[in-house]
Amino acid sequence: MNYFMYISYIALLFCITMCVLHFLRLVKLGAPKDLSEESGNVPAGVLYSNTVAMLPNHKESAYMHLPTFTAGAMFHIGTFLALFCFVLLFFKAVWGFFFQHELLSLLVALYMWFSVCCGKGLIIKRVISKKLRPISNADDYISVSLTALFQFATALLFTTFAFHDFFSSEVPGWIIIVYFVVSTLLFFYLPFGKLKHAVYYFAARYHLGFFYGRRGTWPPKSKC
Amino acid sequence: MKEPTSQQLDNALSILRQNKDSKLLTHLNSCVHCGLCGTSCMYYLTTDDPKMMPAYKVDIVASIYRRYCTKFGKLFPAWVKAREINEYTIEEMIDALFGSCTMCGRCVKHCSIGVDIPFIVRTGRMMLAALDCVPDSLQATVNAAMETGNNMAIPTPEFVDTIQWMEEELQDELNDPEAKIPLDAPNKRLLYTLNPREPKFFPLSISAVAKIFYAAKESWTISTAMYDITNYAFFSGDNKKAGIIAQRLKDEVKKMGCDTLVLGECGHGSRAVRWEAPNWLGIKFDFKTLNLVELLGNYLREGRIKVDKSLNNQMFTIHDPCNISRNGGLVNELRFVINQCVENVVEMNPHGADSFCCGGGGGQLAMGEYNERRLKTGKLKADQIKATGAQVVITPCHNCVDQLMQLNATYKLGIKIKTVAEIVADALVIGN
Repeated sequence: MNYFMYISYIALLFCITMCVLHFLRLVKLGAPKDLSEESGNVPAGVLYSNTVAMLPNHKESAYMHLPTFTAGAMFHIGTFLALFCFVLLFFKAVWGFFFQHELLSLLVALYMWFSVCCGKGLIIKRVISKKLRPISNADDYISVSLTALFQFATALLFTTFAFHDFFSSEVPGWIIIVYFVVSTLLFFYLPFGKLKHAVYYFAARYHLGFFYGRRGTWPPKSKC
Repeated sequence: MKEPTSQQLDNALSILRQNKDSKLLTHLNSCVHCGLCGTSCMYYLTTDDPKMMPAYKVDIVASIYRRYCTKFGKLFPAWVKAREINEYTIEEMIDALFGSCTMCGRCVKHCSIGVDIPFIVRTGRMMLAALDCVPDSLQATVNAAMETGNNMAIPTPEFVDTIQWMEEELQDELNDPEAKIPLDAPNKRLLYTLNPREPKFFPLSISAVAKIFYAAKESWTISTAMYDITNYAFFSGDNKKAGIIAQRLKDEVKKMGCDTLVLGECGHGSRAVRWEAPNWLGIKFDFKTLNLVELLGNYLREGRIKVDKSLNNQMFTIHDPCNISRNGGLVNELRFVINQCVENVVEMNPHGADSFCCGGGGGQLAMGEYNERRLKTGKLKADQIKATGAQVVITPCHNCVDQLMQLNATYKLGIKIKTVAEIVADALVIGN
C-alpha cells in the first residue's frame, strides 16, 4: 500500500468517526418529548416518511423538477457506488481480496461517468441560476465539486480496471494518486460541510414522520 | 433598528443552543440549498423572488447558528455564509420570517430532505422575540390578549351583550325560549372557545354553534373570562406569553369543572391549544381537547344531530386551514362533516394536506404592514377558488374567513364564505 492509500484510509476512518459522533449527538438529544395527546401513530408516520412520502410522485420537489431530481438521484447513487468501490479497494489493499471483472469494472466506470455529468449539471445549474445564488455559499459548490471529483477519479480508475489488473504496473500511477488524494480530501471535508446531511437526512425524515404521524396526517387515511 | 444588547443577544442565541431534543439540531443542519422548495411556497410562486424561497428563510436562521454554534462557522464564516446578528441581519429576519411566511408547512411536505421549515421560521421568530423585534402590530395583538383576556380587547359587557343578542336570535329562530347560550355555567360537559372575531364581526357563527348544541342536547358553556381560543404568541415566537395564555385557558377548564375543551373555528388557536400548549406548560392536560370539526363528526356518527344536505344545495368548495388539516390531521374528518351536510362539493386543486394557505396565517392578518404582500400571495388561493366554480367556500377557521373575504373583494370572486358550524347549522333538521 502506498502512502496515499494510507492517508485516504485514515481520512475514511476520521470521516466515519465524525459522522458517528454527529449521529450519537442526535441520539443523545433524543426524540421530541411531546406532551400533547397523540391522535395518530408515530411509528407508522416515520415509516411513511421514509418510504411512500419519498416517492417522486409524492413530492413536488421531484415531480415538478424531474430533470434536477433525476440528476440528483443519479448523482447520489453514483456517490454510494463510488464509496462502495472505495471500500472494495480497501479490502484489496488490506487483505488482498478483490473481485475484479473487466465487464463489471467497465459498467461501474460507465455509470460513474454518467453520474459525474449529473454532478456537473447540478454545479452548473447552481452557478448560472439567479434563483439558486442567494441560497448558495462556497460550501455548496465545494461539497458538490468534491463529490463529483471523487466520482470522476473512481470513473478514471475503473476505466483502467476494465483493461488492466488493479495495482499492475500498467495502471498509470498518477490515476491512483489522484484517486486517493481526492478521496482523502472528500473524507476529511465531509463531516464539516453540507455533505454531513448524509447523517442529518435520516434524522430529518424521522422528525417529519414523528410530526405528521403523531397528528394523524401521515400515513394518509383512506378518503371518506 | 437598534443594535441588540449583549443580554438580548445571549437570549436569542440560547434559543439556538437549546438541547431539549434533536429536532432543532437536525433541521438546522439538513438543508442542502437545492431550492426545489420554492415551487411549493405561495410567496415564491406569486413573487418569483428567490428571497421568498423557504430555503432562504431557513438559511437566515441556520447561518446565525453556523456563526455562533459551529467551529467551522466561527473559523471560516465566509466559507459557509455564517452571519452575525446585527441590524442588517435582524431587518432581513423580520421581513423574511414575519413578513414572508405564514408557517403553513406546505414546503415541508415537499422538501427533498424533509426540513421542518416552519419550525425553523418559528425558531427565528423566537430569536426576534428575545431581541424585542416582533413587529409592533403583531405584538399589540399579543399584548391585548395578555391584558384583557382576548386578542381584540373586547370588554366583557360588550361580549355578554353580543351573546345575549345572539341568544334572543336563537330563541326566535327555534321558537323556543329555553334555547340558551350558557355563560359561565359550571360543571357542564363542554367548555366552548371561539375566535374574538366572532363576537366582534361574525356573531352569527356563535348562534350557529349554539343551534347545533341545542339540537344535540349538549351540556355546554362559554366562559366570559376566557373564551378566546387564539394565541398570537404562538406566531410572535414568545413562548413565555404563549404559555401564560394557554395556562389561563387550562385553568378556566378546571375552574368551570368541564370535561372537554372544545376548540372553536380557529386554525392556529386550535393548534396552539391542542398541540403546542402542553409543551409550553410542560404538562399533559387532564381534560380532553376536541376541535369543533371532530365534535361535529362525533355528533353525526352518533346520530345526535340530524342533517338534510338538500338544504345546502349550492356548489361548495372546501378551504383547508393549514393548522387544522395538514398540521392538525383533520383532512378527512373535515370532509366527512361537510359531505354529510352539503349536496355538491368540488375540491380545489390541490387540497387536503397539500392545500395552499389562504395567505392570512402566521399572524399576517395582524400585521398591517404586509397587507399588500398578503393579498398578492392570496391570489393563488383566489385562482384556485375561481377554478372550482363554487359559489360558497367552507372553512373551519375565522382567520381564513377574514382573508378569504378580503380575497373575495380584491379578486372579485363573487363567493360566499361560511364556517363549518354555519353549514351544519343550515342543514340541521330539528324536531320531528
